[in-house]
Amino acid sequence: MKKAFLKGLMGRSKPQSLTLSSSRKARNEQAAARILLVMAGVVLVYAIIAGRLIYYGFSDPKTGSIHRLADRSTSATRPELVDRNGETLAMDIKMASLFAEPHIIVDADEAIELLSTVLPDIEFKSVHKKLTSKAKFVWLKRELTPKQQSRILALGIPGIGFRTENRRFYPGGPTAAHILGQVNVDNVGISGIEKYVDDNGLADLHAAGFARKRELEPVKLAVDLRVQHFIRDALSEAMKRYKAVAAAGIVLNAHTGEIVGMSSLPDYNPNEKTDLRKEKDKFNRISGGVFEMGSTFKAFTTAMALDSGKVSLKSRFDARKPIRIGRFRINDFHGKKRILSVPEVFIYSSNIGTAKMADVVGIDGHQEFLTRIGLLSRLEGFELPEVARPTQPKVWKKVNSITISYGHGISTTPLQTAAAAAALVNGGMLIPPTLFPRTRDEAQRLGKQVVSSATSDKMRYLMRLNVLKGSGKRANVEGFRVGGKTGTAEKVVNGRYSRAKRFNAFLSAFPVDDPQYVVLVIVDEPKPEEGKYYATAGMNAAPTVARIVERSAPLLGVDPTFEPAANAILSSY
Amino acid sequence: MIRSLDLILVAAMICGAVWTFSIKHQAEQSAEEVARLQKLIQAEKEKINLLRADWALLNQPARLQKLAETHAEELQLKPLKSTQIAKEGELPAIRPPEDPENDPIGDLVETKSEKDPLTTGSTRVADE
Repeated sequence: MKKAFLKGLMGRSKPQSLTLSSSRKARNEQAAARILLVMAGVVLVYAIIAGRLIYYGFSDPKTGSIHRLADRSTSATRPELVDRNGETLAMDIKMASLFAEPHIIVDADEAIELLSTVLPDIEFKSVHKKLTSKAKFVWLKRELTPKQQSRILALGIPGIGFRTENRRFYPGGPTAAHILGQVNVDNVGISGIEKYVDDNGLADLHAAGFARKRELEPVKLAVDLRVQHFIRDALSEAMKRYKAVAAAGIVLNAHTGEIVGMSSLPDYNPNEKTDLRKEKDKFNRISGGVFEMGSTFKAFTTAMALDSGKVSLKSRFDARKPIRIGRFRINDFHGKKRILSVPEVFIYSSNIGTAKMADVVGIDGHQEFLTRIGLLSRLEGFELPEVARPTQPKVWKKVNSITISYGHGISTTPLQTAAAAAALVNGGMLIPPTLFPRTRDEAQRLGKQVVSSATSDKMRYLMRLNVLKGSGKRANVEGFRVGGKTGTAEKVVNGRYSRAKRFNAFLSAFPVDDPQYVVLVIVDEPKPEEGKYYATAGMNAAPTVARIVERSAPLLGVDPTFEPAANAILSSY
Repeated sequence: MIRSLDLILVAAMICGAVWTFSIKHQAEQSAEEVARLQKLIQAEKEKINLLRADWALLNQPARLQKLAETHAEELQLKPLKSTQIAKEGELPAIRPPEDPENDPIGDLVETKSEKDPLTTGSTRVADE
C-alpha cells in the first residue's frame, strides 16, 4: 500500500530532464515522507478524539454544565429545621416580589387597572405616584403568592417584573419562638437555633458560595412540636387565669438531657420581625433569665444533706422557733411549730428545717454542692446564644447559706434548675441539656455523677410524697405519678422582698418511680384565681404542670399505671 | 484509481463533517432539554416546598386544637384522659370468629393484599 502510494505520487509528475531527475527523486521522497508525517498526525488527532468520545460514552454524565444553566436563587438559603418527628419548624420559601421601572411604563393608569384585577388591595393613589415618579426602580408589592405571580405575568404589562427571594417561614408562628430564634432581612440567623446554625458552619458555606446551590440537609432538633404546643398552651392559659406577667416552662428528658419542649411567655411571632432589644419582656426566661427559684431549692438542699451522709430520712429538725441571725428572722410560711422529720420538712416546705439541714453540711459544703450540680456557673456548651449567668454572693456567710437553702440570695436560670433536678431523680447523673437529639449512651458519656443513686431514690420518694400529701397535690395526674416541689418566692422590689409580688415555680418529674421527664414551670407574679385566696405555687404552677403532663405523657411514650405497686415506693420508707 | 480514492476520501470527509455536526447539534439540543427539565424540576421542587409549608401550617397542633374545640360539641370530642389508655397486654383475649367460613373482613384483607391495583405514573407539567 505504501509503495503503491509512493509510486502514485511519483507517477503523477513527469520527469522533465534527466539531470534533475536524481534531485527531483530525492525531493519527491522527502515530500512523500512529509505527507506521511502529516497523515500520521491527522490520524493520531482523530484517534485521540475517538478515544475521548469512547471514554465520555462510558463515564458518568457530569452535571457541571447543568449547574450553569439552572436558575439561581437570590438570597441566602438556610437548612430546614425539623422537630424530633420530622415536622417542619422552620423552612425557606421562595417568594416573588413585584417591582416596576417607571421610566418604561407606558400608561400608568392602565397598568394599575390591570394590576388591580389581580391585587384588589393596591391603593390607586400611592401606586400611581410611584409609577409616574422619576425613579428607576420601585417596589410595588412584596411577597406574592405563586398564583398571583402567574396571573400578573399573564397580564403582560411592560415595565414590571419579579424578583424571587428566600424568606424564612415558621409554620408554628410563636409556638417555638424562643428555641428557633429569628433571622434578619438577609436571612441570616440573629438569635436562637438559627444563630447557632449560622455560627456552626453555615456562614462559612455562604462565604464560599456553596449554600446557594446545594440543598442543605435539614437540621433535626430534640424538640417535639406537640409537647412544645402543650407547654405553650398550658402557660398561656395560666397567664390568663392567674393574671401573671410572665410564665415559662420546660420539659427535659431526665436520661438524655434533651429538651423536648420549652416555652417562655410573653413571646413573639418569628414570622414578623420583632426587635427583642426593644421589647425586653419577650426574652427567653428559660435560659436567658436568672431568678431566685425559692422553695424549689429545698429539693437541692435536702439532696445535699442526704448525700452528705450526715442526715437520713429519719433525722429530725426542730422547727418550733424562728431562726434569728443578725437582724434577720427566718420563719415558716406553713408553720407547724413542732419537731419535723426530713419528709415533713420537705412536704411542709419548712424554711427553718431546711436551713438547719444546710447548717449540718456547712457553708463551704453548701457552696461546693450547688456548684457541683451546675447551679452557680454559667451553662457551657448550650446551643442557644441566650444564656444568662447565675449570681451568688461574693462571700458566703452563714446568713447566705441559710437563705440560699430555701432559694433566696442566689439567682439561676430555670434551665439549669431543671437539669440539676434531672440529676436528683435519674440516679445522680448531671447531664448537660441540649436542643439536639442525643442517645442515652452519649448522655452517659457526657454526664457526671453528682449525687449517689441512693440519694436519688430518696429524692424521688420525697417528691412523690409532696404531690400525694404536700403542697403539690394539684400537680397529680392519675396514672402518670408526678412528683415535685413547689416554690413560692417573694420578688425583690426596690431592694426589699415584697409580700404582694411572687415568683412561683413547680419542679417535677414523672413517672416518679422511674422518671423519664423533668417538668419545670414558673409563673411570674400570679394573682389569686377568682374565688380563691392564695396565689402560692401549689395553686398555679402545680396545676399547670399537671396540664402539661396529662397531654404530653401519652405522646412521649410514658404508659400510665394504676396498680398500687406505683405507690410501693412510699411504703418502703 | 487515484481519482476514486480521492473521491472516497472527500466523501468520507464530508460524511464525517456532517456526522460530527449532527452529533454536536444533538448534544446542544439535549443540553437545552436538560436545562428545560432542570427548570421544571426546580419549579416542581418549589411547588412541593410550598405545599409542604402549607401542610405544616394546616397540621399545627395549635390549629388542630382550635378546630377540635370548635367542633367538640358537634363531633362529641373530648380530651383523652389518662385512665382511657391501655396497653395491648391489658386487653382481653380476642374472641375467635363465630363462623370462620363467613369472615367478610378477613376475606377483604386477603384479597387486598394479593394485588394492589393502584399504580403510580410519572407526572409532567404542561409547558408554560
